[in-house]
Amino acid sequence: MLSRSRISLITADIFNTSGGWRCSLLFKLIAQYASTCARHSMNTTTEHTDAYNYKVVRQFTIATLLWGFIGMSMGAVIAAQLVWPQLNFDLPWTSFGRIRPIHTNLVIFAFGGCALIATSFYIVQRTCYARLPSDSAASLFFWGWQAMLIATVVSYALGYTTTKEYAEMEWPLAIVLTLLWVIYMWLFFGTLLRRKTSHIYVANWFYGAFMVVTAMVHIINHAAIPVTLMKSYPLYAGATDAMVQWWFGHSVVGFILSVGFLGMMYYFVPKQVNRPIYSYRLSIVHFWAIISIYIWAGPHHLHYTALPDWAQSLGMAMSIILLAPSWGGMINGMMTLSGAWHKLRSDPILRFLVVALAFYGMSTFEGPMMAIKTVNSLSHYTDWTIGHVHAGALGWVAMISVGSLYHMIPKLWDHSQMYSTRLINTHFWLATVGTVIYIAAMWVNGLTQGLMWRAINDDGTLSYSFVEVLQSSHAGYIARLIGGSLFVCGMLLMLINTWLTLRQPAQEKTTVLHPMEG
Amino acid sequence: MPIILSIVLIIAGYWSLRQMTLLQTEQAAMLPFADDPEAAKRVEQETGRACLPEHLAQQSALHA
Repeated sequence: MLSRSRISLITADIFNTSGGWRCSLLFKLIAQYASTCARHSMNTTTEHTDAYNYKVVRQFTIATLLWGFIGMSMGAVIAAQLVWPQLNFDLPWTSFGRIRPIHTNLVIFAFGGCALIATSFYIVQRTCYARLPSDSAASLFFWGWQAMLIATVVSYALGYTTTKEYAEMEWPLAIVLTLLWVIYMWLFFGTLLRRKTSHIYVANWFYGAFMVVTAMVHIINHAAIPVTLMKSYPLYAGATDAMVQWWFGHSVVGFILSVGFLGMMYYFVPKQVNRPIYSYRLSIVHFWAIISIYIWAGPHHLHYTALPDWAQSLGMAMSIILLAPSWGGMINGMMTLSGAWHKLRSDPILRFLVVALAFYGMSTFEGPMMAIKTVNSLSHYTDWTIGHVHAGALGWVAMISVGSLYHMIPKLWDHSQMYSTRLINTHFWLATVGTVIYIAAMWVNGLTQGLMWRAINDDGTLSYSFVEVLQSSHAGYIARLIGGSLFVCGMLLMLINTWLTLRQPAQEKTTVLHPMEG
Repeated sequence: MPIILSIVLIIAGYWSLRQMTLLQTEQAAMLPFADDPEAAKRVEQETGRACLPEHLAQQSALHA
C-alpha cells in the first residue's frame, strides 16, 4: 500500500508534467507539507498519544489550516471580482454567484468545522481523561468529512444549489453530512460516557450544545422532496420556508460560530494564561442563558418581509436580550486575565485569544443593535451586514481558532513551542489590521448605501440610481480587498510556521498525570 | 411551547448550579490543567489554588 507521503509525491509529479511551473511548485509544496506531517505523526509517540487519539486531532488541525487558506483565498477572489468584474472571466463556474457559496461553505464548514472538530476531540479527551471510543470511526469521520467538503465545492462550481444561504448543498450531500454528524456525536458523547472524572468541564457543554442544535436545524431545514439526483424542492413554502431557513441560518451563527467557539475559548484562554476561568459559576449561567435565547433570534433576518409582525418583534426582542449572555461570556474570558495582563506583552498567542474576545464583544453588541427594526431598515441589504459578519468571522471565529491552534500544534507534535514567535506576531498584526480595514470599509459602504437608497426627492422619486450607489461603493470594495488579502497573508504565514515547526525533531517524552477519580 | 422550553432551561440552569458547591466549582475550573503536571505546577504557583490531583484530593479530604 502506498504511504500518504508517496501518494503526495506522485501527485506532485503528475502536476509537474501536465501543469505549468507555478502549479507544479504549489503542489510540490503541498506534497512536502503532507509528507512532513505524515512523517512526524508516525515518529512522535508519547504517553499522551497512547492515552488519547491525537492522530485524528492532528489530521483535522492540518485540514483546518489548508481549508482556512483556501476558503479565505476564495473570499479574496470574490472581493477582487467586486472591484474588477472582468475577473468573472464570463465563465459560469468562476462567476461570483458560484464562488461566493464556495467561500462561505469553506470558511464555515471546512475551516470552522475542522477547527471545532479538532479542538473538541482534543478537549474532550484531555478533560475527561478518556480516549475516543473508536479509532477507526474517527478515521472514517475525518476522510468522510473531507470527501463531503470536496463534493460540496465541486457541486457548487457546477451550479447545483438549493439557493438557501449556508444550506446550499443538495439533498444527497445533506444526507451524507447528517450521517457523518451522527458519527461525530457518537465519538464525542461516547468519550464523555467513558470519562474518568465526575464533572464534565464546561467547554464540553458548549461543544455538546453546538452538535445537538446543529444536527436539529440542519435536518429540519434540509427537509425536501427530491425530484432528481441533484435537484430538490423544500418541504415548506413561502414565508414558512423563509422562517425555517433563517431559524437555521441564525442558529448556524449562534451554535456553530458562537457556542462552539465559546467552548474553545473556555479551554484555551485559561490554558494560555495559566489561570482558571474567572468564574466557573458564570460560565454555567452563560451556557444555559445563551442556548435558551439564541434559537429565537432568527426572525431578525426577515424584518419588513411577509413574516408576521409579531414574529419579527419576537426576533428583535430576543436578539436584544442576547446581548446579556454574550457579554457575560466575553467578560468571563477577559477577566481570566486578571493579574496576568502583562503576559500580553510577550505572548502573541494570548493576544490572538484576547483580541478575538474583544471582537466577539464588539460584534455581539453590534448584532442586537442591527436587529432593532428601525436600525435594520437602514442597515439591511447593505455592506454593513457584510462588515458585521466579518467582525465576527475574522475577528472572533478565525482569531480564536488561530490562537487555539498555535497553542495546540506544538503539544500535538511534541514540541515546546512553534518554530517562530516572530512569525506568530507578524500573523497577529496582519490579521488585526486586515480585519479592522475590512470592517471599517464595510461600515462606511453600508451607511453610504443605506442613506443613498432611502434618499427621496420632493416629488417622491429616488434621489440616486442603483448604479450611482454602486459607484460610490467602489473605494470601499478596494479597501475590503486589501483588508481581506492581509488576513489571507497571515494564514499563509501560519501554514509556513506550522510546516517549519513540524520539520523540527520532536522533544523527549512527557509524562501524563493519572486522573483523580471523581 | 417557547415559554415551556424557556422554563425548562431556566430550571436546568438552576439545577446545575445547585448541584455544585463552591469547592466543586473551583476544582472543576482546574480540570484543563490537571493532566499536564508542568502546567498544573505553574498554575498552583501563580494562583495559590490546588491543581495537581494529589493536592485536589487533599483539599477535598480537608473540606470533608
